Amino acid sequence: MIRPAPGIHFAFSLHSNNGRVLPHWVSIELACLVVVLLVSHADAVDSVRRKSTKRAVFGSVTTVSRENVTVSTSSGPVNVPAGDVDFIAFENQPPVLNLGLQAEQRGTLEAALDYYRQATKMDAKDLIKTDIEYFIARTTARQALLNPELSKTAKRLLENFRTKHANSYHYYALHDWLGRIDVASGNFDDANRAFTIFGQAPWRSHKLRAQLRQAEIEQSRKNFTKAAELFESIIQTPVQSELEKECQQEAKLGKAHCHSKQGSAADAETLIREVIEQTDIIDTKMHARAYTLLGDCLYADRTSPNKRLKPALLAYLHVDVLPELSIHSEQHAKCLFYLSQIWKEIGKPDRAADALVRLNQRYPNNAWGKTPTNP
Amino acid sequence: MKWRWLTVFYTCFLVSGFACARLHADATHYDSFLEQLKSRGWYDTALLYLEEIEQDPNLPETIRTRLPFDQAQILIDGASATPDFGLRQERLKKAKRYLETFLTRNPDHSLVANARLQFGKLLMERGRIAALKAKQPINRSNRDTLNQTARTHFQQAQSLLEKSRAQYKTQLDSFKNNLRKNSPEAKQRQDIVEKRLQTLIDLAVVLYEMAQSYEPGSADHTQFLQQAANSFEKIHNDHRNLGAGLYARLYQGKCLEETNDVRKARGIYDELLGHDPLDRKQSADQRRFLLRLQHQAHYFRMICLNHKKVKAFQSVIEEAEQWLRDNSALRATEVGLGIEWELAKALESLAHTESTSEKDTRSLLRKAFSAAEHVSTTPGKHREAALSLLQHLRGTDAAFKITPQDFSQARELAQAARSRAEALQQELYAEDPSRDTDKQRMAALKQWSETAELFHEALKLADQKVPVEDINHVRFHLSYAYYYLDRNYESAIVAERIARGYPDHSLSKKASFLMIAAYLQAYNQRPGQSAFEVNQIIRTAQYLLKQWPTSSESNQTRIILGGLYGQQGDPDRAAKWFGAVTESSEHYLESRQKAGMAYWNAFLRAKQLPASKRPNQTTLKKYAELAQQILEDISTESRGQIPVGEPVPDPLLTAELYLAHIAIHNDQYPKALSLLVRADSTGGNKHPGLLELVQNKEPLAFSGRSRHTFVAEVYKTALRVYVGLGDLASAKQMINELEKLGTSAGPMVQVYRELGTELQLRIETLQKRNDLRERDRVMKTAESFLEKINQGAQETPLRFSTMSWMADAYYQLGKVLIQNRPTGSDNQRSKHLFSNAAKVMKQLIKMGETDPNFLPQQTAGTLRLAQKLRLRLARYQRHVNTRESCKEAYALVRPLLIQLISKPNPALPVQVEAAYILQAWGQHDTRKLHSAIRGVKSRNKKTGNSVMLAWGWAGISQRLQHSPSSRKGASHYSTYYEARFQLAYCLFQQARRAMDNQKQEQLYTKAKREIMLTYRLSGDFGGSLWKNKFNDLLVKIQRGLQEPATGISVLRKPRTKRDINVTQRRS
Repeated sequence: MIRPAPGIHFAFSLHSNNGRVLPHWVSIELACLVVVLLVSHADAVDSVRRKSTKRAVFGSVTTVSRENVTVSTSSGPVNVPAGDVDFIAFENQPPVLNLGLQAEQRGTLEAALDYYRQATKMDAKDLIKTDIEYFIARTTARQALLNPELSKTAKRLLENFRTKHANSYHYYALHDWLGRIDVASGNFDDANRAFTIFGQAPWRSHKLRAQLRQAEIEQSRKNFTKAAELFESIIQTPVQSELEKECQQEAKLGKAHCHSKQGSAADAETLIREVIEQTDIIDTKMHARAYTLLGDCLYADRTSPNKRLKPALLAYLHVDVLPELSIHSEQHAKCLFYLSQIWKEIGKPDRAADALVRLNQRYPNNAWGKTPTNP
Repeated sequence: MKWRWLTVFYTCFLVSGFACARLHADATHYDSFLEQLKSRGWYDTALLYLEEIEQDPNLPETIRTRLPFDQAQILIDGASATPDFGLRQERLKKAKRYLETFLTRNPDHSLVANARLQFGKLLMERGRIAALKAKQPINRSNRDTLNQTARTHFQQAQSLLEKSRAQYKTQLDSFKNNLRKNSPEAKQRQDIVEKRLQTLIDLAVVLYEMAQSYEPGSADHTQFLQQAANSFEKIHNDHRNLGAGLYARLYQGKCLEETNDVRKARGIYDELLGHDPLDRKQSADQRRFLLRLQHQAHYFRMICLNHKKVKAFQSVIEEAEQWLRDNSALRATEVGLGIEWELAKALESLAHTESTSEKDTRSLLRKAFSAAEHVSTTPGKHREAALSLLQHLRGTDAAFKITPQDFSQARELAQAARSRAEALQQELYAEDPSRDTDKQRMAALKQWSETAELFHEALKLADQKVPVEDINHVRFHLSYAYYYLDRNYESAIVAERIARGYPDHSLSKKASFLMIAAYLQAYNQRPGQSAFEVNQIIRTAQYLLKQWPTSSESNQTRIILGGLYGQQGDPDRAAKWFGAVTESSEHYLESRQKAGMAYWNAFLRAKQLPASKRPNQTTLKKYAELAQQILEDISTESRGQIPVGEPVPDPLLTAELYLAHIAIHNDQYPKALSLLVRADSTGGNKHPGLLELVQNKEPLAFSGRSRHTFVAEVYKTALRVYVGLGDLASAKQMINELEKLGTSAGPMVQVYRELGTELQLRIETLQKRNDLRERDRVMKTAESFLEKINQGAQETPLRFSTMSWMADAYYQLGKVLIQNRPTGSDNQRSKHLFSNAAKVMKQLIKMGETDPNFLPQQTAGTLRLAQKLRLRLARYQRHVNTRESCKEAYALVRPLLIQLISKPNPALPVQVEAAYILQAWGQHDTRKLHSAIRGVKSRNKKTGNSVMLAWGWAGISQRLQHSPSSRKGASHYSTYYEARFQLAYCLFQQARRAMDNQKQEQLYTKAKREIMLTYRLSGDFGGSLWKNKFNDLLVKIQRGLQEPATGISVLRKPRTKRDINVTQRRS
């Protein structure tokens, strides 16, 4: 339906909005840009987003080290602790790099790797190239957590990166990934070494996380009593920042897992529901982990007189149905596998088949389809 | 690269603009800078700028005073520029607040007249939103209301604009005639002239908008368009040299095109396109204006070329492609998108013309898809239509795949899909029962599935820039789609995200309720195995009741909880929840009605329970009394409150229907009738009864399928009442009405079966009560009713279901008569009834043989329908119990026995019937008793071998003895004991007829041994029914043998399994 413009500016500027060149969102973007320009450095084009504040520091990244990223801003240099860097958006970085980061965030890891590989072929400054190299190694590590066949490749990529860029701001985070791959492959001693280096970082949150990883190693070794003690000590540690609080919540989940394995399903459930209740809704990673673990506990308890098959189904379904949770591939793959089991058990074979098809389509070569075990 | 350049350019421009405006915030810079921003359509930036300078302490007071006015003006202009209704309404709301602030603070300001004008524009914009919403498929149901709202806004705007025009005229008249050029007065006068002209255009626009609020082609639509065309023409005639004149001319053409005067409209557009936009005599501004006007004229011209009267699709394609090539920078503007949309339509239309080859069709459709896809990616007025075309094309060819690129596009696609799904869902609920609902249901499900996928995709594409508000809306719709798809857990999970994650969100309450609805739907699928769902419902209900205790959703939740407890047989708890519904609530009446129903259903359910589980008599009485009391209260209190002509609310209708059922149950047929028919002798009938409401097609609160169900229930109830009262003519009428309703009343056979069961139960009760007089009256009524139906068959042939039921009803009535110590007259009467049953059945079989469409389609089963009918006829014949009828009955089953000779399982019911027939025949011919026991052999003529044709009771029991199907709880458990009993009974009959004493004793002993063996084989008699029969028979045998009549009480129970096995081997 066509209709005349509501306002006509008389001096031959009739119908002015129809002839505009830029779409209206551009104006908003530009306005934002102006605001940024007003508050930031005149040449500021890089932005360093901090995990703790969820805000960016605008300026020019001048130096990077294992401990710090220095940003030159209009009000002088700002040191951002490497452990607090969420990501750096460099000036002139290839647009495809952003697509890669978004894909990685959405859990579409193959697509993310494609974008990163495209980005490597483009002209960019060294800092950007280093980042791309790390992102490739990190995404492969993520894949390796689902597909153990990729463990060696991921480990090689991470170690190569460490050798080439020993002073990168990714140095400590890299060791966390290395340790996690080792845990997944059962190389607990290697994992221990990696987490020890990770814990040498000068930040409390990293030290706490390193303790968490040690507890997880014990958990993987099936030393549930010792693991529960380690988790408990983390829970009892006074926390100061959001990152440390996050570690503590993860420790509660770890403890719940130990409870479940030690036969205290009810205690485990209470603890997990507490974490779900206390975690901010935007912390999708924690929610995905909590719901998956809840599903595990309830499913493991399915033979009890309570027969908690449907509650387990509901817990796993959270991770599959809510897109913001399904981006966490490690949890999503696991949930899909158990959903395929439970749907079958409650007499819905079509839904079971659908879950299995989606598991294999989205996560080809995943470990779940091959080694069905009890949660 | 180009974008980057533009960005840099405009950034510089803006930065310099901001800086400049901040440094020199005097009126001149302020006006010009604001004008620049507005002319570029940068309304957000303009607002940002105003907010920025508002903070400036050095801002001149003159500007500070008018700031709210300017903010309102920008918001109003900005509202018309965004396609997002929500954003538009939000902007208008803010604008209204600013205008009110301005007018309150500055009642004497020179801009007051202009502020009123802005109010007029605001109202116009509101009207436009309402009219646009009315056109959306989703608002189909309240289209008229929205259009009416739009008109009200337009009328208010018109009135304000008229006032402004009069005010400007008065102001103009106050000026002297000869004003010095460039004098302040002359400038002021010119300013008012311009504003007046603006008002005139706005008034014409209001007429055009008014036309849009009517159905295209309607008299009002045409009339307003003509008025608008005349107004635009007048403006053009008076000011043809001004931009406003040309503008009016353009829209005169638009009005003409919309009144289908396409030729004239094209003439106007060609005239406008004839101007030279590069004419150096014109100023740069004028040239720019003319160019824009011509772009618009191009676009409108293409609409004309695509018009059904012209169909110049090829020309549209060529012109549109040329325009898009020449003006690629304008592709994303409203005109650019409009032209591309016309291109898409032309390509699609050309593809479907007869002269287009198949190859060209595909190529044209591919191009159309691509053009529509581009239009759909940018917000604008054609987006929805473009998405619809994309979906349509995708439906024709799977190769056309739409992959949403961002949240917004996915959401739009999903919303379009949802509109279609809702339309299909509405059709499902439609009143017409003849529709193919299965096909429709499948179509609706497919559409809901696509909707869910797209909403899910939208959520996946949502990034941090997407407001939570939008994400939650998408979540809500996704949850709804899952609900319709019966994916109840998914629906609840998504809704929970809003309900618990964002308790302050506007949709949170509804989302909580949706969760309850989803779990309830899951519960209803398997009420017996849904403890989990019940827990989830209660958990969510507790949350909703705590968060929003006084909301409508809370009251509905209370009703759901009441229903849930009612279904679980806890009417007191149910009533507690129903009673918690607030009296002022719209659901109050419904809650009371449901409380009454809960008690009545609990009463009926309890009556069917075994005595050990049944509540005591006091509780049962309480349930029945409370049900009646609550429902009667509703009926008495609410009936009088309904204004004449208003539909009776559905809770009241349901309450009265239940009251009628209660009255029937209590044998109070006149009372039940008074609820159905309330007309008094004077003919005055302020509050018609249920049957009258239905028969007079009075307005009912029920609609669609619910209405049909209700109507059918009323007819069924009336049928029961009329049969009970013996008013057979009326009962027959009810049957006719039910048959007219067809399948929506449920299968007719079901109706008959219910009626038959009820009659049978009533006769049995009367018989037990020994009220033979009343029993005979009911029997007579029932017989007469059946007779009446049979007589009607001469006028209208009876359906299969009716005839089948009639035969069965005659048979059942006959059986009731011979159940307990029948008298001679009872026996005679029953024979008559059985022969009537046989007569109807013979007729039915004959009709089935002559008319293949007469019999219903074969349903899954072990025996074919024709075989079943023969078997039933044989049974009726056997009950007539004459030598001839038994012979005839055996002749009927014999072919079945031959057909099923190699199929032991399907043959069992036939074998049992054959044994019964032989047994009945034995009463007239003793030899047949032997056949009933030992069976009948038949010689195969070809092979000469003998085969057992009829197994006899011995053969049947022998075959069942080792069969798993005769174990306790299995399908033939009872049949085995039935065979064992009849075997003993036949021996007993033989003994009684034996002429010599020794033979008689032998036979009695044999019969006794069979009973003892039965017990020793299994330690059981197959339930209380057969146990009593065995006992009675044994007592009779013992008497025959002159032994103590101990019955089965002294029989030795087999002690071990081994014992049973030994007996089995011996037997």
